[in-house]
Amino acid sequence: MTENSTDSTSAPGFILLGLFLLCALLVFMFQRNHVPSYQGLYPAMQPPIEGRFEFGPDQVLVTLSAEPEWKRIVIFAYGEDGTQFGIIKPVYDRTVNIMKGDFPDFRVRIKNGQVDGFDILKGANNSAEGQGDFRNHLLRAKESGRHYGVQECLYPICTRCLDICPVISQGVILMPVAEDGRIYPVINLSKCPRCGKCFEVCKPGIIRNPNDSTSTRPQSSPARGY
Amino acid sequence: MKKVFVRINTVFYVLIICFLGVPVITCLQSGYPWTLTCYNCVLCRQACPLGIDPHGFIMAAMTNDPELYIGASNIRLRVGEAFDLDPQMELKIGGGEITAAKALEHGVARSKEVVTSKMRAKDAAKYCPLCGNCAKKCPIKLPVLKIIEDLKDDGKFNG
Repeated sequence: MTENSTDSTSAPGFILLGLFLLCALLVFMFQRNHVPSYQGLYPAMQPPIEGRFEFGPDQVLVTLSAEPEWKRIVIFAYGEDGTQFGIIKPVYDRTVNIMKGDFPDFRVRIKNGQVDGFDILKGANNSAEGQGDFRNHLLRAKESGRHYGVQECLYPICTRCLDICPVISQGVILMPVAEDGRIYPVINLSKCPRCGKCFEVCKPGIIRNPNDSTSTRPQSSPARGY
Repeated sequence: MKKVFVRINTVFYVLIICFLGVPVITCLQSGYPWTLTCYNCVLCRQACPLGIDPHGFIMAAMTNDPELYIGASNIRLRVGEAFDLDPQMELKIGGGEITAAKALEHGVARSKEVVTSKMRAKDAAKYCPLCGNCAKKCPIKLPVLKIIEDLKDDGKFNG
């Protein structure tokens, strides 16, 4: 009698333990990485600035569609081997003047449509003179039908948004090379945790706080999702 | 005779301690005591696309002097803008280096765009894009951007 009662009480215990282990196994098999969620804001993207180039005999005048927040802008031109040469120029009244003697500041190596690395050409050691006049880079790009234009983003020199994003390993912020040759951030909204860190650190103001009304541009567009 | 040498030694030790103590006091005043750990490896110098010497910011914080002139070899701006900011800012014009005040005295147009050579740390901070490339290059991960962000606000150390 005593033995029978012991069997009847231990059987449900084993069943419950088995169910628990089965559930734990299923959870372990189908678990997903924890993504922290924040009740914040999705970042807004500034519409890219367009540049109209006028090639003169001594200078190249670039008229911008809007005033950049940083008061400086990157002018780029692609070389024969597909590298992007860039120069950081000040903007006065939406115009940029590229003169003879303006040497490129950096060179971005691009492989298969993705950024592969970069070199600072004119650091504190003034060693850029060997890289040629940037005006000639622009002229050659124009004559050969290669891309040239303006961009605000300093990637890959600046990677602060990528460095600070808590879920960057899931590809939330991508830096593709666009069809027109410029490098511009793309944010995957479906994975964005809305922590707001990216627009806090973006000093050129491309990724910005959607509630910030200090923008001089007509309107900020929501970040591109995919 | 021995006592004289002991006294001379003591005086020199005190002088050396005072000399070494000055940067300790000034960096504590600026709020950046970690600047003493920078050993000037110059890796950060080649990292700035605007040619700003990040070690200059560290020296400025170490000496608690935001007006310290630091290397900024690649910032493009107009002569008039440079003069309004600091007449003693060094500019590269015609293969030489000249202050903004002297450039205007010599008849260089205010609207002429030039490249800087040296400027005050607090002025250089205004032009810094805060890209963080210098901080990434630092082998001991000194937070140089904190100094620059501090100077950007009001040109003073509030560390």
